[in-house]
Amino acid sequence: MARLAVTLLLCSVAGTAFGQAPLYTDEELVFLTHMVVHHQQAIDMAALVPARSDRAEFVTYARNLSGAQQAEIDQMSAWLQAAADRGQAVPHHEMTGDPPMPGMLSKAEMAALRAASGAEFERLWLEGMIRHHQAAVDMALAQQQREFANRRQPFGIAAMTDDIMAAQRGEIGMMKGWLTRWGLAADSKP
Amino acid sequence: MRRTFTSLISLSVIAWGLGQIPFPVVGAQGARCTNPSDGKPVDCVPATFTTFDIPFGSLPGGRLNAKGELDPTSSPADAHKGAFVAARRLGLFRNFEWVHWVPTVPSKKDPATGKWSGGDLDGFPTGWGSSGFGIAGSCLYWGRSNSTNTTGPGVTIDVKIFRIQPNPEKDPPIEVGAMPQLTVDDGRTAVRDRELRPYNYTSTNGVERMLVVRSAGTGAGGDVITYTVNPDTCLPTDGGANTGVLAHEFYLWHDPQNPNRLLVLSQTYAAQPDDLVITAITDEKTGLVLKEPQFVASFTLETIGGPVRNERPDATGLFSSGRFVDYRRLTDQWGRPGASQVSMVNNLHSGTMSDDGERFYAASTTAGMFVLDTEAIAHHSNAELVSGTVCHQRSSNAWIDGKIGGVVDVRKLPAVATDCVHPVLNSDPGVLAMLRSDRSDLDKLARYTRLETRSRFSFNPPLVASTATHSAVPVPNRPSLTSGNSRNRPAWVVVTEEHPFGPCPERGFRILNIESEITPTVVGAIAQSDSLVENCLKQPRPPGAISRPNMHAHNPTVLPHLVFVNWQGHGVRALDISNPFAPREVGHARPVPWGEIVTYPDIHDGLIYVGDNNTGLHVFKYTGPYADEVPKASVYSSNRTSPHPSARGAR
Repeated sequence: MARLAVTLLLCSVAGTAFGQAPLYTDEELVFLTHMVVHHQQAIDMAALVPARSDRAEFVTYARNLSGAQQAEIDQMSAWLQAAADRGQAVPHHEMTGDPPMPGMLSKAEMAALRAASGAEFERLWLEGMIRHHQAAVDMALAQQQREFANRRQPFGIAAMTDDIMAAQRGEIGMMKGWLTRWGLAADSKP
Repeated sequence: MRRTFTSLISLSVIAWGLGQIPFPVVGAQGARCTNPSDGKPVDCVPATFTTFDIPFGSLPGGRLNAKGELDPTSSPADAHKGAFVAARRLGLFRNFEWVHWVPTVPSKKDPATGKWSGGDLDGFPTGWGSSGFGIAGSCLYWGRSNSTNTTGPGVTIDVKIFRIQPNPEKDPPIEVGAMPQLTVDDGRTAVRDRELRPYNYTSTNGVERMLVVRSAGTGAGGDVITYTVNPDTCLPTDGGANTGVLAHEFYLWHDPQNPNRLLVLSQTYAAQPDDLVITAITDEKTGLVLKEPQFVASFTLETIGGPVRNERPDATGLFSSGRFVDYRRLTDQWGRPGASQVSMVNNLHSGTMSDDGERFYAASTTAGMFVLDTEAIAHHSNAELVSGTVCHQRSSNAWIDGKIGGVVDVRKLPAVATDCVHPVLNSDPGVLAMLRSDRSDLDKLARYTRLETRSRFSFNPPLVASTATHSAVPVPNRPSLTSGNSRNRPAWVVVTEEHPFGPCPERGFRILNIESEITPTVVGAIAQSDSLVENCLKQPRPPGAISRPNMHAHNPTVLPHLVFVNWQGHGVRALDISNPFAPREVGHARPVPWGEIVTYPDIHDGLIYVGDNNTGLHVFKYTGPYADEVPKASVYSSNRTSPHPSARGAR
């Protein structure tokens, strides 16, 4: 889905209004493109929860997570589209690596997640999403450090990175609590 | 558009001749009006402009010299002095006096060149979004909204603690201490201190107490932290008690029936499944700050059948409640695309508890403004509420099979009225009777859906604003005269509107009529000129400014006929709301260098204190219409029960 969105963005470059100042630097475009791909896997993971867990709070969280990350994907895609409309070359992120980015789950890990259920699924999912979220926090922090170094506050991104970091740190804390409370953490087993 | 002086004089003279407004005296700083009856200065807004258009093309966006000209390396003394010179030259204050500017991030001197730079005098943004600010007694707390992209990795800016001086007009507040800024990610990231609510109270045993509640945005499992404070020193005496709540904004409520009882009403803005989380932070028997704050109740709009969070449009751009305008193809002077709406977040952003605790006025983003019934919270102790015997602590799920976003189960709706916190609609006797009648479920659902939609006032769609309804504050001491209002409930609520990424157009300020609480509706509005997209697009870039701050109406401090609104890049605006159908701007205060005023204006003994993300702490004095409403001997803010004592033991 993310690949499709990025492809559409690339196609839209042709025939757009050129001559306007670039909206983002190349590094910022890469950040947005990567974050879209990163978020998409979180949505894919969230979609597995309702059929594999009976915990109401977990199912609710997965639904909220999916909605929030989809909203951010939509926003970031709109910004990428705006950059493309100005003739900026929006990078295409090839999903070649496995995992394609740090913190993402590999194909084998996603397959294991799909095959699991109950407590095993919950453990794999929570551990995977904690790692996934931490990588997003690290990506956002790196973006903020670039903004500081370049004295830039790129449109929208400056605010969104703060939100991503605060929200995902909070969710990491919540998920770690669940691992312990639900007896899934390595140090919580008898 | 701002008129020329010639046309301004002409219109003013005509209006004066008609006896409508005082006669204007034109000086170097623009129009000044005096009241012919006593010769005192008053406003002359109606004949000039509805709101003050900042002269952005000549507004200094960076450090100044003593002449008020841009100079990136001037001395701190010159930079400070020059700001007042520039402000006078540009007419940036009207019916406000700029009493003090207290920069709180210092400049640095380059030992090699002897030149100065940096800090608040540069007007460089230190962070994004809300910043914590508040006063209790004579103690003032100011926490910056710094984040890595503006202050650098690992750099912290502590919460500064000030003491307001006995002669506050003459002497600026003096720094007396600090609260260390919290960090996460092994110290790599300083988190924004986005909300601070200090409060002083006397417990039933006669002990004068003080606390400060902080929402630090750590995102690390609980952001709302309550510190016990020594009122003599203004300094915290402990490490704080964590509520475990991830708050965005919050309201601090002091129970008028039990002075030991203070509750924090956290608006989570989707940081957790509940929209509103009510937490006891003090022991209701002693007034001491609880080491382990107590969950009292919560509310979530989507759980009871309201709009679901993060709604997306269909392929044509249609949302369940309509279609948004779309300006994304436009470009402003900063090279940014115009505004468009990709989703409707539909979660709770802010709100205000009535003094009696029976109502909560919810600012629920794209879901609009609505009124919550919190009578159970007001009339029961924490112990009773926690026992679960009085009401349901959490919102009842009103969906078929509990599947949020599916179909509302009308047979479950009456149970919502037994939740500790629920919309006034759900306990309306007529609505309950309808739901319990023998009408068909389909008919009930259709009627309820119409009523539910009308119970929330929202301006979007069609207006673009991703946060949308940002704040909701009832107008005090102007109760509705409608029949049956035995509780003196307010007739009006003011709301502000936010689009946080700041693309054009900007958003403004509205007044809602809530005399029928289940059917709020808009009656008046006021906005800066950049709420018109074409004006926003051509708004010049101030010289020296590196970024455009947010420019929408943000936090209002509401008095019976007067509102002070932090309008961020537009500064503080004073609004006369005596006629809610036609609010008018009666004063403006825009310090330079250009910055972003982001805090509720807090009133202390007649002066107005605000924090600016770019330039630090500012103190203003309002002199315009209804200045007599500004409390002269107390602290007043619209984010906690007010007024409260301005000095220990004195009201």
